[in-house]
Amino acid sequence: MRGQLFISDVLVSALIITIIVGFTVWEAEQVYNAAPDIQQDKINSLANDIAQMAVKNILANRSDGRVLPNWVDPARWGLLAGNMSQMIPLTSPYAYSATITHSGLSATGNGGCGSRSNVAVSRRIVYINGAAEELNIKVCL
Amino acid sequence: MRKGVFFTMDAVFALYIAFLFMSTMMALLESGKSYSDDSLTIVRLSRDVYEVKKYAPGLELPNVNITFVKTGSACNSKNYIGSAIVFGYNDIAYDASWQSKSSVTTKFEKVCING
Repeated sequence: MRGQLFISDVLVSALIITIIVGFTVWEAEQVYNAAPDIQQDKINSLANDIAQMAVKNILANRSDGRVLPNWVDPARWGLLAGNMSQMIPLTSPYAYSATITHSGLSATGNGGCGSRSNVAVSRRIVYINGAAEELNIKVCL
Repeated sequence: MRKGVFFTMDAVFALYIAFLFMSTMMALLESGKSYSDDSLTIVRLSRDVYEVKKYAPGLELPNVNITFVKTGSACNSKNYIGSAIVFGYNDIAYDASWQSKSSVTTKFEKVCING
């Protein structure tokens, strides 16, 4: 049977070059894909940490001496709003903005989200007078 | 010219198709990898539910008037995802010889959010 001459040395060298180029492209793709994922993980973590701090510490109900999980005092909302601008530079080197909302109340630090593209949202359960309600935390970078 | 192995064009095309098939399969497997962005939220919510059950059993669980999170059998809707194992700490107790019997325990809490 008549065929093209394609010696095995050429085949082996072509294979090696293909493997090298393939792995290089694959590694580069991994690096480029990992960067946005890491950034998104960071702001997700930030949103969850701010939620944790707000629910467990700043808003925690201390008025009647009972320490119940996620039992918050709406009267402390003003304290949270006042602390937002101080909290942001302490929790991250990035100038993110954060908004915490609950039943029409809102506390914003570093301006609103505006046109920022990286957004993470965390939600927590809070209890006010025994009733479960929702607390939303939005972080934008 | 060096003496070498003959590859017909058919064999080269067959190799090419085999490489193409393998790279396609690898790309499909790679794109199938996924992870949940909400894993940290679910873990935190699971701990909240665990704490409410343990320390404030009188409080209602968020299955009635909250839509974003459900617990236990209320998770059985396909719109809700997630569950977590939380670590708890047994209350400190002493036996007759004043030996501490406190210990770390694990507890499975089925908590899910609207995915």
